[in-house]
Amino acid sequence: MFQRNKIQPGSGYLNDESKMTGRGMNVMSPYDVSELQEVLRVYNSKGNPVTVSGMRTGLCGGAVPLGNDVLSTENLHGITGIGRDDRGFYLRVLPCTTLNEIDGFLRKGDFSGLEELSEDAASDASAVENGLMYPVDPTELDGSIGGNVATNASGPRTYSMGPTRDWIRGMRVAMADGSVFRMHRGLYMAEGRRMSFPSGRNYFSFDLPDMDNRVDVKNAMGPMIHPDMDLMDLFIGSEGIFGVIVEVDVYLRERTPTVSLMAFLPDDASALSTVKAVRASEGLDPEFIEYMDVKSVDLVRKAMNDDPSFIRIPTLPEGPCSAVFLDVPLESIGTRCSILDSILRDNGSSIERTWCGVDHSDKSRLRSMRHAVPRSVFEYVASLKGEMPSIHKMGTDMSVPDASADEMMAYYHDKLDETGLEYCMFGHIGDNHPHVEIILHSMEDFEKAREVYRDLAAKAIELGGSPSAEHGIGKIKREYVGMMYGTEGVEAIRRLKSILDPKWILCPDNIVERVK
Amino acid sequence: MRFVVAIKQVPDTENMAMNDDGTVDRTGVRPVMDPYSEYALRRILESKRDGDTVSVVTMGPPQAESVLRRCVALGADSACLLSDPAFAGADVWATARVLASYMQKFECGYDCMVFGRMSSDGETGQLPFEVAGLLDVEQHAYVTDLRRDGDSMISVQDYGDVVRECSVGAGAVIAFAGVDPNGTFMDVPGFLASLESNIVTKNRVDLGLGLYSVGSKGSPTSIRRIGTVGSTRRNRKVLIKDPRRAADLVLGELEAME
Amino acid sequence: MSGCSGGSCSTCSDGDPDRLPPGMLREYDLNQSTSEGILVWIEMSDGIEEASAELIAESKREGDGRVFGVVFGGPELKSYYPEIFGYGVDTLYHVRGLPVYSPEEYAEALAEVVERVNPATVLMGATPRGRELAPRLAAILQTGLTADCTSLSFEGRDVTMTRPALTGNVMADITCDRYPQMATVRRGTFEKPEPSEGTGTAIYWQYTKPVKREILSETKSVETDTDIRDAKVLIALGGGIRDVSLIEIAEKVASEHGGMVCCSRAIVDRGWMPRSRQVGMSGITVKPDIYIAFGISGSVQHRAGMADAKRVVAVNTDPDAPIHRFADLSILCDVGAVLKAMLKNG
Repeated sequence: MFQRNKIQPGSGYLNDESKMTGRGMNVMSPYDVSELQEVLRVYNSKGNPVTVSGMRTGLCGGAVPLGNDVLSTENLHGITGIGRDDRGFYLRVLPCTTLNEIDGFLRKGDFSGLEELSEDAASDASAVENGLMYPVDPTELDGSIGGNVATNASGPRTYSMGPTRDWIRGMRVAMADGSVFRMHRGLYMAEGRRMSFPSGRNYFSFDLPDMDNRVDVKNAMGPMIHPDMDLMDLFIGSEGIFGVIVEVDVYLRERTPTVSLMAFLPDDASALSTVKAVRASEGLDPEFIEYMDVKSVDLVRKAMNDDPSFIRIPTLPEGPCSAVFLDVPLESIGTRCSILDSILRDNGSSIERTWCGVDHSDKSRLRSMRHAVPRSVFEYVASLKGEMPSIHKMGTDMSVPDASADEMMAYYHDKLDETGLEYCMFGHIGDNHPHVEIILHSMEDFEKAREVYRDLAAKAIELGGSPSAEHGIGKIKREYVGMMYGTEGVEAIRRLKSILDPKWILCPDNIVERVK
Repeated sequence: MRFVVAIKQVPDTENMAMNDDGTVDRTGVRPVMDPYSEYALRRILESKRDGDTVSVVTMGPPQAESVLRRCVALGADSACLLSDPAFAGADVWATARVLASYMQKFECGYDCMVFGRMSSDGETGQLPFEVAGLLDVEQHAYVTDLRRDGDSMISVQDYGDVVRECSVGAGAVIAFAGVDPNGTFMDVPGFLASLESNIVTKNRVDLGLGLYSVGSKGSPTSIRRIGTVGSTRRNRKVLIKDPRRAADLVLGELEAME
Repeated sequence: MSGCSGGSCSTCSDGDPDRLPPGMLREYDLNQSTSEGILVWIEMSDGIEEASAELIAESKREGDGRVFGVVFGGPELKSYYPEIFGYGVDTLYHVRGLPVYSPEEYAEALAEVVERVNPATVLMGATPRGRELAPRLAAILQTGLTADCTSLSFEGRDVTMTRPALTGNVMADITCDRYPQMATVRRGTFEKPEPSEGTGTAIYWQYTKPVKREILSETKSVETDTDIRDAKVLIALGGGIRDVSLIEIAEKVASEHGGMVCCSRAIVDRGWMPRSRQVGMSGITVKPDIYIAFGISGSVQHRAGMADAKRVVAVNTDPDAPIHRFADLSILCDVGAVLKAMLKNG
């Protein structure tokens, strides 16, 4: 039996970080998988939908219920096993384990007490010289691994190491009827467009819709579908509409000692040209490249003036400056620094104006400066006390292929400058995926911003990119699924859902709207 | 002038986990530079003139070398690690003995020895004055400012009720009062230079100290018993979304007092 | 300190077995010291420092043997003799020749008196001056020092000193193998004695060496601040306070309820409040009737300063903050919003 609790008014189960507020009566928080299966069986038999929620750190309302009950995985957290296969070590974790927990655990490097999924995995893992890491590093490290898989989360390191998708070895999934099955990469492959797999006493066999996803850009736009695909890829990024993830095997890699560098440049153009040169250069091998435009640095400076301990970093350089933040391997660091120095000198700066961090604490401080931008924007907007108490800013999350990077960047500036909106730009420039935060002073701004946003999204799609590169779709960005895949694409996803979840009980409003 | 800055490395508390029983879990925690020491070092480096030298010293395990390297990257001219398995378990007195021996043996003729106010892992700042006592030199506590006056120095000390300006005698021990919670970063040239620099290590024998002068054997004080901090309070925890209601609850508590 | 490695062999201990290395004393059970009694440095600042008075009274009450006092100053101190004896000093050493506070010579003079008296324990208040004087004296006497004790328990001439251990939420009971055992104790740790008149022996002690330190100027800080130790109601602010303007709001709330505002180290480090308002290990010990902690995580160092509050209310957004285990009532809510809401009500 499982316990059903009333959702109290104002309780967190109705929100996530998108600040969207939903409606819902009850919440179930099963303590093990069999309890979770029980919940699904009962709800499926009655045709009552549930919205799956974990740490509720999403930005698009994926975990927000719209009138149905909530199935929270909060009690399913912890690290249970360690194994090793041809590719390397992997960790078996429960879905609500946060990235911070995983990181802390790996830093300690004590694998005793875990189930060994292959012989001597625990002792071999402890012996890895520099320790192991799970490389995907979204801004929100308190997000659950289940949520990361469901949205194919990415972060700065996606530049060199790929998104969540590339690091998932396998998982256990509970289907809508409560049956549970385990899969790993290569186990269930489509033959052409025919996909077949068993789950419990069921056997699913169906044709995949005739659509192909963009795989060459950073993309978090729903499930990935293409001929001869791996079943894993159907579930990764599917935002819980096909099944509930109840266990994940994540691949690990050996930590490479790196040096974090934060270079300051005179203006936006010089920073962007630095980024281009860094990407083109040989021998720098950055793990990631992040960008902060002059406005972003300004906003951080402003926030630090109001609260000197806002983040634990020293006073920023005086006068306008933009910043480029990158991690490079410690090995032959001298050469790497001189390469970077000549790039910086070409762009009006130098390595002398660059901060660097080597130990974990300095690196996390540099990282926190990059991550302070969204909060600085928020504090700035709060200080404006604009006309609209609820909406202050609008953030974009679009990526384009390398070839179109310059065109997109020019389009951003033209479009935004034309409207006279106040904005700042920062983020994963290495993946051609900067975030633009538009600051809204008035209702008029809001209207303008919505229009620009639509134009920008259309342009990104036109250039072969994605309007939702890492935040997912949830309920807030469903409009762009239509823009990207067309009405037919939306219908195809709907049909797929009807096959895997005939009564539409799993996260019914994510990615595509419930058919009434 | 020759400055010697004694720095302390502390466990990286920011990235440290708690065990279930409330004690700190130190496994895998690497040492970082104590922010109070870092502040002291920076104050000295900022006032450094041509011809001055700044050396850094710390007593600690071999891993502490990375912290010293960082000091060199920040601008220190040299660094020395006092490390020996026998140093383990030292109390303040035994630590002071090691530092004082180092100063007498390897830093003869230094002008000024500098400390931070205290360390962030709970020690209460006795070390500078025990070292000063052992070296029989002047001590300047709670220093808010250290000024150069020609070839000599003037310290400004804040005792809370009195602010004093004193001239700083030869070989004096200075303990700075402040800290910069925002800390500092290395710059790249400094960092690259630090990779080349040679961190000197001295052990017990180098310092000419007997086995019974150092570490736990040389410590007059010892911990007899460790107890967790019990609480007799019956805690009631309430989650309130509405600040208005929370405020009323607190105000209710206040009124109950009156 | 002598030039040789010192104290690590029996020849270096000047033939005095008490000066043998502590490890040897322990291992071979060689402690033959005949030390006895307790010596307290009596700090004067517009009268007898309360921390000193508390220590004298506690030593008289709980300690074994005579209580010695040492006080520095001129003939004007004579008028304080009855009060000093009243608190419980049996023999008072009045050191003359050091009109101005100077840690080097004070420690020197105290060491001379200690050599003469041979007390088993030396205690000082953990005041700014006590904190720099005690370690210097300990170094001269080659003995251990336990700073900032939260309690002392006497057993015969021996004393067990309790203080929070380095990092972590544990208390350590510490003993010292050498005599005198030394400790500094914060004001407020023991009950404050009522002044009464008493009698005892007073001995003049002339310090003859010159003061080496050159003091160029001395300015009295104008301390208009009332002491947070006297407040019955305390509103405490911690690192969770992100906005400096909240301090002003807290001040208003506090004054509406006849209380004061204090803070944790995080706030002092940011330069938002003076050190005189800091509660905790490196600050002040308080015992208010009610202690309302806003955004204080509750490190063991902070708790050392407020553990004896009659009632503790914690407001914090972090449900896992250690402060909750030490509060009677915990409210998980936005700190700033609650403070503001409290003000409107006032």
